[in-house]
Amino acid sequence: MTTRYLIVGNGAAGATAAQTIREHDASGEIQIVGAEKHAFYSRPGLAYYLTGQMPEGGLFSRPDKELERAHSTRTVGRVASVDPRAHRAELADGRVLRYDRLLLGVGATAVRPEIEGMGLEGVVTLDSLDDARAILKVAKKGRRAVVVGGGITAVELAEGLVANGVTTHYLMRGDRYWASVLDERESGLVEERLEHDGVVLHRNTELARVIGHKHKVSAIETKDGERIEADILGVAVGTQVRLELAKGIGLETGRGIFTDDGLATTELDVFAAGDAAEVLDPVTGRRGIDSLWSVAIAQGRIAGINMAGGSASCMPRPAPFNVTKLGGVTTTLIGAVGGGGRDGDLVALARGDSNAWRDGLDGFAVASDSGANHLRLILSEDRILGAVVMGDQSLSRPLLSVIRDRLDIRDVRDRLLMGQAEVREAIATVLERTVSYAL
Amino acid sequence: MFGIRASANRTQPDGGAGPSAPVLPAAPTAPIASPTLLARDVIKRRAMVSGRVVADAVRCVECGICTYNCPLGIDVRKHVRQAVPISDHACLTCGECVARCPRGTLRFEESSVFTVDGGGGGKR
Repeated sequence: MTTRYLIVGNGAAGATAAQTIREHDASGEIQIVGAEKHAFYSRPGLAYYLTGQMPEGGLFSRPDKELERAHSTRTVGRVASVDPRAHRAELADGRVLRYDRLLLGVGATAVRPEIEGMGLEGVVTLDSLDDARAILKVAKKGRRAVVVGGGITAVELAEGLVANGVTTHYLMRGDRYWASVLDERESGLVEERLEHDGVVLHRNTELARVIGHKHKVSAIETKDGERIEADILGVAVGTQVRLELAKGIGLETGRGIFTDDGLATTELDVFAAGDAAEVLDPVTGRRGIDSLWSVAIAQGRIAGINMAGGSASCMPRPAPFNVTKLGGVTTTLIGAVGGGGRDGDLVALARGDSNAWRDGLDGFAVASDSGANHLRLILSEDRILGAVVMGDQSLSRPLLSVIRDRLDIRDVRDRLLMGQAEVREAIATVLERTVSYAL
Repeated sequence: MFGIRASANRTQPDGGAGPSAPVLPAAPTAPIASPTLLARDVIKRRAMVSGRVVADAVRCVECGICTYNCPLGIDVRKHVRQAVPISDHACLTCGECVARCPRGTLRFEESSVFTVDGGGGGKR
């Protein structure tokens, strides 16, 4: 009998799961249901679409014809309910889909803080291609924007708006950018670049309310009573997992959908992956949640294998890793990098974020600068726990190996405390000892 | 410091009119920067004649900037995702994709024509 696979969500996790299932099951029926009408596109690429570095058409990295070639189908629709015992899903328009295995790759959506005026036209978030289109549309008419929030998305919004000729103010609740992940120097590097690009920074400034005129944003008011005229308010205070469907099914949830290390939820034949999954580490007993492209791809693969009857695990959880442009500075974050500060700008996990980055504060941080480049390593007695690499990226690939493979660094630890040139040689020594690896 | 500035400009050819003019490699007033600049230039030229573009797929987010900027129309992104070497195609190693990738996914690797002298970064 052919197995029917139903995948809810056409994001990185869902699309990868579909592809992986096909690699393991040549005859199963694979159907992806997504609420967006678009074919698969690169969500992280939206930042470059906003800045004009990329045309919209270039974002579609996996055209529907790839699905067709794999004899899989994509349906546009919103899954309204699932009956897990009957193995039956119902769409909002009444269509009924039957399945043997179900994957929830439903992702997360931007949080809108409960502040007066959040529903006005001109308040924008960056979740989807339609959001990006809407931002470009308002940016065409708007002249002034305010951005609130933190993490990668806030900077993407600010940079995108400035690139479209919009005067942009960025309000930070604390005294520096992304204080929970970056250290002071790193925040400073990003802030310098933002200011250089024309973003007006407001430190220790909190949004109090949004003022509207004819249902449109006309200004914002800060808690100190300052008024900033604006036609656009960009909001990036964090994301929340789309939990409605999971809760309706009766799955156990926390911040995300609870899964075991094989991405199975608490209901038989129902799996979850990507931003939506909150995965249990059976060794530590802790649950982890990531909002990272690389993790979503990896989890899509693992869910796909297990749905097709295989046995794969997400554990041990690899050191979270992201590389991104923060105000034009290429930045790689690996492992536990906790910046030590509190971050009032984010109320939840942001996109491109991992809760594990805030770990490792017990490690010993050593930072070094070389011109515009910056390197910070977080060291324990025998390992590198995390790293932040800004600017020149030649060290980030070898560092990822050292951190992920938990390589012993005791004999080179002293050299890691010196400048970047010494670090480079020390890392090479560590890697040469284990594998043949060209730095 | 100077050398690093100059290379930062090079990686962002779309950055518009920056405040700093291009720095000439042999600026006599910058005795510390010059060897670095020259070394970087040598590495770049060597890579262009002897290198090939390789990918670190785990960094890729499929944004497509590489494909969009390839003067030969090679679908670089697809190569990365399907783990097909870019050098299989008529790649000129012009470096547009390497320079523009916002995530550092792509890099030059020297082909075996020349011996690797301890790293793509060259000797210090």
